[in-house]
Amino acid sequence: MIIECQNLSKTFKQGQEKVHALSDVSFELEAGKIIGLLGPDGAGKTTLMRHLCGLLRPDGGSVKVLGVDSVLGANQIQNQIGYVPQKFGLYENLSISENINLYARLHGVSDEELAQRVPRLLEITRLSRFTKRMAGKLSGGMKQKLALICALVSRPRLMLLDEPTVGVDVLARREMWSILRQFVEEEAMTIIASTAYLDEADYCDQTLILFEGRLLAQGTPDEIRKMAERFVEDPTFEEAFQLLICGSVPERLTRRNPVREDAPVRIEVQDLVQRFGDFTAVDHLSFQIRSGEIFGLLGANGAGKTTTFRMLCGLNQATEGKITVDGEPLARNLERMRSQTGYVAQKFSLYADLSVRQNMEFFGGAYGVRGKLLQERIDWAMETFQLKPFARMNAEKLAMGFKRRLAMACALLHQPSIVFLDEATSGTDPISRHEFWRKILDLADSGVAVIITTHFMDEAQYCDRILIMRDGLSIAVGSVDEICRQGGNAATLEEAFVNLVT
Amino acid sequence: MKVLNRLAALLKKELLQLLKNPKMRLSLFIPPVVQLVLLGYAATLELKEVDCAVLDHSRTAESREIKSRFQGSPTFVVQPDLESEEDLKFRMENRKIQLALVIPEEFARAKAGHSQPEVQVLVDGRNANSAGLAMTYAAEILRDYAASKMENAKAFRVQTRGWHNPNFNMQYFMIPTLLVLISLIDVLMISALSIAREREDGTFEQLRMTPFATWEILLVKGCATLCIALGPISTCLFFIHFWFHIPFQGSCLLLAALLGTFVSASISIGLFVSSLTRNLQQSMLGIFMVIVPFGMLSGMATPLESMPPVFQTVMLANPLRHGIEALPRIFLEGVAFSELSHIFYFLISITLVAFTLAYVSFARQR
Amino acid sequence: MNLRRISALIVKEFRQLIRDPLSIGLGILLPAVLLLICGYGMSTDIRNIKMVLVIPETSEEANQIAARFRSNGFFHSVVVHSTAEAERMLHRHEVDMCLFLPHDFSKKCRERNAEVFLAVNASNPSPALLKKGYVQTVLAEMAPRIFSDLPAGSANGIFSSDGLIIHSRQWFNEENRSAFSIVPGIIVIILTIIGALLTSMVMAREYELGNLESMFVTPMRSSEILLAKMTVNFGLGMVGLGISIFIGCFLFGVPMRGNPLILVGGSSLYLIVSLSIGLLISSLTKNQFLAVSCTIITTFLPSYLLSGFLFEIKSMPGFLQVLTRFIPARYYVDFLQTSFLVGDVWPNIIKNLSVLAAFASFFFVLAKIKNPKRL
Repeated sequence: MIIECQNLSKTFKQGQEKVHALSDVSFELEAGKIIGLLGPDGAGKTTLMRHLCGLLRPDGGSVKVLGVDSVLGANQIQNQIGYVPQKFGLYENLSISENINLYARLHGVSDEELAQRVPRLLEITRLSRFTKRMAGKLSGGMKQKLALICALVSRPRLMLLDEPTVGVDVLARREMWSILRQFVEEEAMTIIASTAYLDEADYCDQTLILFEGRLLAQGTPDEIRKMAERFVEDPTFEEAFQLLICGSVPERLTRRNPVREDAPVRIEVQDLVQRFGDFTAVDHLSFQIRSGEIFGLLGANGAGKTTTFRMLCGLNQATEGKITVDGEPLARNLERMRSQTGYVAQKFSLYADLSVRQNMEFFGGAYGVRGKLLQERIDWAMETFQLKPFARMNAEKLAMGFKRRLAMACALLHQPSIVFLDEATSGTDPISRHEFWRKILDLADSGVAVIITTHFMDEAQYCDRILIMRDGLSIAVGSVDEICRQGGNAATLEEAFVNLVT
Repeated sequence: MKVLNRLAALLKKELLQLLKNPKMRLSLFIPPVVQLVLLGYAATLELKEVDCAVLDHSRTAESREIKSRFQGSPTFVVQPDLESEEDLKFRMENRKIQLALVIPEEFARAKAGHSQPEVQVLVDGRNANSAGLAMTYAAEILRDYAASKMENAKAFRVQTRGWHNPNFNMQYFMIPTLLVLISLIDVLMISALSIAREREDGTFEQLRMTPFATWEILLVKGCATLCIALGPISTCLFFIHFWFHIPFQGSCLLLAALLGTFVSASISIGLFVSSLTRNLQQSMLGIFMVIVPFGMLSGMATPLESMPPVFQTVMLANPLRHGIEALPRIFLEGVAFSELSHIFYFLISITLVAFTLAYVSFARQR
Repeated sequence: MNLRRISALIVKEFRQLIRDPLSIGLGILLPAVLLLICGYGMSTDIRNIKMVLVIPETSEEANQIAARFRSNGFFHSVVVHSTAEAERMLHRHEVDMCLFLPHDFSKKCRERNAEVFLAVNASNPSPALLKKGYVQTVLAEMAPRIFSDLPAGSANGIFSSDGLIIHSRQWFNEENRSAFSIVPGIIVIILTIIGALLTSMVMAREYELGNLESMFVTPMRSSEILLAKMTVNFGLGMVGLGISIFIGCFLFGVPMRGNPLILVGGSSLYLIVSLSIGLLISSLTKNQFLAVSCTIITTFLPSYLLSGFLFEIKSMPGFLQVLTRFIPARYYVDFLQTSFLVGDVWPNIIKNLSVLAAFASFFFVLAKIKNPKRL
């Protein structure tokens, strides 16, 4: 047994209240496997990971890693494991090779071994060409791979990865899992990875499902799926997961009012170009977005999605090209345009130290909603996004899913007719995402133009039209079916996306 | 109307952000007041309890009288007599004494009229400032002594009156001065924090997506800082009046107007500094780079007119310099607005220029 | 202790440092700018004392006095006849002081009973006192000449036999140069900023960015992490010290009478104290803003105001004097001033350096205890 966890409990103090991050968690894990740690936000995944590394001291119970007690032998454990924390822990102003060398030396890897191992790791991760580039200038996917190398370079017996795939595109995710599999097979490594992407469960040999600090289930992905067979025919892992947690399988979402052909064009983009020095981030992009349409902007990390997005919002100025909103140029009508736009940023970007209600009051007020109308809108938002119980709680104390809801609520208070969602669901669990999409579809049904970016292909399914970008260029536009056709008649959107982008 | 409503919402948010967190509230209020009280006692250029000793080669009644005059002075503490030049050197080097009086052997004889009597005053020059002061005090005692010993007066009696501050009380000057120094530090930190924190938390983007214009955001942030700063400043004023009993001759209205303008100028500088930086660390360092020279060259520690002319001109851009010129005058002299008009003129110019620079530098970042 | 690991970490810290223009600026620019600004700008020398002489009645004696002040380089004097006029000037800050000669000045002089009145604007008392002292000195020098009924200038010595000659000398800083006492003070401030402020900020930032989390899950010991952090900032501090000494000695002519090696050694000790304080604060706060404000209050302001560099400790009230004993900068200021201006005074060196060494070990051990490899 590589890990034995017995009755592990941990509580944190948050002001007056005590939060039970882990309660009575017991499990054992065998060596030589990939183990997935799954659970919704705030389930205690990170806390468990930190206990396994000896970074936290348990309040009750014990953890044995590699046969060593995590409190008494923290150093001994840390000598033998590799750990990639959520924030990666890379030094942004050191280059790729400097980061690798640093971690190698810290782990006491000899120079000969370093010379032997690093080229191979770079080869596998296809980073060889960039060794001189600063870590801060890498895309999300590349950072993730670099963090992986830094942890792998010392041939650890056990690797711990804390949500390594958040904000990373499909391709990079697939790549990472295949690299991990390779190491498990070649070096008999054991890997524990936590993730909020349930489709990734299938890459794992074993899964642990955590919910509210308790271990709900442990088993292979198939065993977990089997648990749901009584309720649904041929359940997906996601359905089984939701069944375990909520006790029911959610219905599939559909649009009530599909977008009409003659709906007015809200945003029109023509030959949009953005250059940063010699680098062309967005290269002659043209598209239209109609009222009531959900428009998806997809692409690998660094394809130019965010730059396009920022230009659409007027946060960046385009180098060339034209953006018109309702037939008028954006640049000249920025303020008017903004007053009818809602924006949910990729990162949580509300005021953490203001309460839910205060955040709403501010954003409502900022858009000029006031008096009775503001109260009505806030009541509406509290109701719709089920935030009422938290109205007086500070935004930072909300669980990730509720933060996202609050961000959405704040963006909708002034009843915008255009809504921008930039990876608005990243880092949230499937249950919250489902709720979320129900709201987005309702919005579109009521005639709002919605522009989204996302890395989840199951979310992209809901888009009326999708634009796929690669290296700043548009490589495919159309409905989901059209994209599948363009992507070599692929069966799923994910296949089509992978085919188009590679 | 609608614009005002939006701005009010923004102001409310800024105030909530700064005041809601109890830790934050404490860190805004307590340090300024503690600093004022502690430094009010510490920051004195006055000399007290200067250790001095006499190397008495003459050993006469006259030399003993000089010694007793030093003993009687509140400034000096007379240590046991020095035994030799070596003893003097040793004790001076080890800071056992700061000032030494050497009375030569022929002192009494000289006094009796044969030649000119001489004494030697030696002072530790490691701290140039207090060395100068100690020397002045010692010379005064010696001159008084000499005058009293003359058969017919051969000196003027000088009657000195210190205007506005008859006892030359150092606190009367230092404490109003500290108030402006502390407000400057406080205000720079708050305004830098209010911008840097939004940048680090990513809320700045979100804010820019709202219909606010850049200047509106800056203006409201400035106003919020001004409102917040009023709290610690009025607490400090309370302490100045009821704890330190600094006399107040001027008009409260003028004081309020001056502090308001001073704080506005400081805020604009804070906004400008943080507009040039990208994160909290940078803006904190930036503020340091501003506070240190501003503080050093403000006229607090050393008089303004002793600075080289170039510095005097450059320091016209230093709000602290103007605050320090004006505040003791309002407190102690009770001047009218007309005499401080130039200070208002400078402070308002600083505010406008710094705010414009901050605006330009923010607008360029979009 | 594993040298290979530490050296890897030091190399990393060094690379990060040289790629961060701000830190370099802090190490090199800050000392240079601060010293130049303060060395040139801060001076307690009083010149151009603006004075008005009120002479209601012209007389031989009054003219002598007026001429004397006019020819004295320290004064910039004007003569008026009406008291009201002079008081108005004093009120409006056109002059710093007012010397009133009485109506019957000439007569009183002959009776040897002359009294003059000096009104000084004392709203800034410290320069006012100095200026007052200057006037009194001038008057004291003048008196014998006027009273001895001899025409001005014919007396050989300045004093009659009844005067008292005061030879005053300032040891260690013979010409009373402000820069001599400011330069050591600035060095203290610079080492405090680089040591405590920069270190606490950089370290708190690593906590915030999560870099330390992955650092903790390596075989590094916490003392090794601290040591590596200290080494590089120590180097930066030493560069700052070097620049300060260079500017101080060559530009402002500050003598270095003590052994340079001892000076550098003592400075390293103080640098270690402030580095340890910086590390301690960052591991207690783990938050940049709090770290900065804590460092300013506990380290920077005391080193500036309570160390005896600007304000004399002996003039402070008793409780503050006790407080200054817990401020490392106090001992370093004493050490530096002596080392620069006096020489190797062993009792002084031993006392100050042993206190600093005690502070250094205390804070380092505390930082190590407070920084176990746990979050």
